[in-house]
Amino acid sequence: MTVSIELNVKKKYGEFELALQAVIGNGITGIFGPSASGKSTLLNCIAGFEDPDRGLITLNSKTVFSSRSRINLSPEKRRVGYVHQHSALFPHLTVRENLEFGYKLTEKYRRIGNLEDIVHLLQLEQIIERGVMNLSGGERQRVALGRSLAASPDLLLLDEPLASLDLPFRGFILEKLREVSRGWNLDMIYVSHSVSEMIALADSVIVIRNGMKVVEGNSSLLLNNSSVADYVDYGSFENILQGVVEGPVDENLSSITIGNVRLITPKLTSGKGKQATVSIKASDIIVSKYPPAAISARNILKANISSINRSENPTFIDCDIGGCILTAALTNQSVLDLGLRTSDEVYLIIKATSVTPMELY
Amino acid sequence: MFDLILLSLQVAVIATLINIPIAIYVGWLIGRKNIKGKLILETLISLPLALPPVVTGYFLLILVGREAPIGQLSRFIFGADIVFTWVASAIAASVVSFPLMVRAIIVAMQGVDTTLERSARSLGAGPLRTFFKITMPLCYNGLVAGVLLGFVRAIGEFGATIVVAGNIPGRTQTIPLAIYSKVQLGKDSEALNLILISTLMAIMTLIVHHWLIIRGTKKGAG
Repeated sequence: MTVSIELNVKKKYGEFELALQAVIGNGITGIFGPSASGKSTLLNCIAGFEDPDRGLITLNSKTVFSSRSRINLSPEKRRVGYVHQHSALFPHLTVRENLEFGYKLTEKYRRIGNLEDIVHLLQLEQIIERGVMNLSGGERQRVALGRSLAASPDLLLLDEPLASLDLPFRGFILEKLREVSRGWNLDMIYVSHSVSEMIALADSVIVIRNGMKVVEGNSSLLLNNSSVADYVDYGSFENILQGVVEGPVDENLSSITIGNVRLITPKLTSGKGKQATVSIKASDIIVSKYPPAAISARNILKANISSINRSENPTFIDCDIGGCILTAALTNQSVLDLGLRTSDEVYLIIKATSVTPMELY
Repeated sequence: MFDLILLSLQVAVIATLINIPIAIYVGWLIGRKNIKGKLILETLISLPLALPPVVTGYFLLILVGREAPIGQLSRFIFGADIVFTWVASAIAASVVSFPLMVRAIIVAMQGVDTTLERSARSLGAGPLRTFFKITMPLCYNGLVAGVLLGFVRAIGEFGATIVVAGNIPGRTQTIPLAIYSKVQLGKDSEALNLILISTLMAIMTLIVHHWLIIRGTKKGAG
């Protein structure tokens, strides 16, 4: 793993102190923590909006802040994009002018994509000439993401970009972030307190609390680490999965291929062969040790238990369904009664209606 | 009569033009920056609003009078006095109308969401570009209101002007001073004409204000 960002920052605000040392690799890194844990301060220090009291920040081995060498690059010289929770679009400009703002300020040789590619990627064709005041929340956030991408940043900071969006838009933006991260090779730091989003999107995660790093590692640690257990809302944890639409099964149902598995879903609007994102709540998945017979649920998936994360209640069971992991939430008592163990073969029972499409249109 | 209107406009327009850049700068300092002595600066710039204009005029007389340093400097450079000229009228109008303009601009500057300016910086815009492309357009309504408020105050200026520039027909007599003179001399019908012109100018200023505001709000909502 090549190093993308090196951080060693200290910043004090009255009683609160951010004291963080981290090496952030390529890809999408999640920053996870309760509110007022220092997540936004950290992003502001990286972007150059706040100065650490002491420390060092390097982005792709370029020093952007160093208290020792008295280096402090201004935000516009750092090439760090920033997508805010409330999109922060320029209200006096149209969608196109918002997109062009950073694009025109970027030297031609630095541009990763041209404006048309970005408009197409984020499906902004219909709204491109409109003013930004009449856009919906989802549209605004797509424009905000597009505006940041148009400036061809070396690093993209995302501060709760999905927090105020409806499900379909969340699915769309998650898809696009993944696509851009891989296709454009753009590193991202993603701040959120949604475990589902973290697991769906982040390659690795750093958990911070009271301004300090608590734990870091693969994003699945959020489901089994006791240090996060007290403020994570496990009840709402959902599997966010991306697949390829197979097409309609009947009037009301469609099917989608995820990894090697075919899943029956409510009717999808995306055509055959298109990418689509669906979500399945972990608590909606039933685990059986034997193949169920004569059952109404449309999806019965054979799986192997890859890990059992017994933290508080519930217990999360990661099940390998053939190239992809589905996490089921069971009560501790169920796990004991069934005698479930790692690498056991089980059957996952999921109603078609428990699969929620996160399609945009 | 035509000369009178022209002189009044000249005085008010120049006073306003002098004030605009200073008011924007001071508005930004007070509205957006954490500077030391903010309270002192705020008190100082608002003082002409609180003082009787005649008192402001007297202070100006002390500053720009024949024996005062600024007066002497003017004589040295231009070979002429400032007092009892239209330049003195413009200075008086400028000082008296400044607080009204700057206060509207301060409020507008404070209302700009800093996240938008930060976004602009992240997108590669330096502080100056951010100021002119983001901060200023977002202050547009307050700016227009401040400038026009300053302008109407400048055009109506009486107290400070009469002290520092006098009431010399054809040289420093502006519309309000002329109205005062006509009323004093019992030339009521002439005074009435000027009053009518004053009223028309006020109405036109307000129409311009509304037009500028409507023009400014159209874009983002389109």
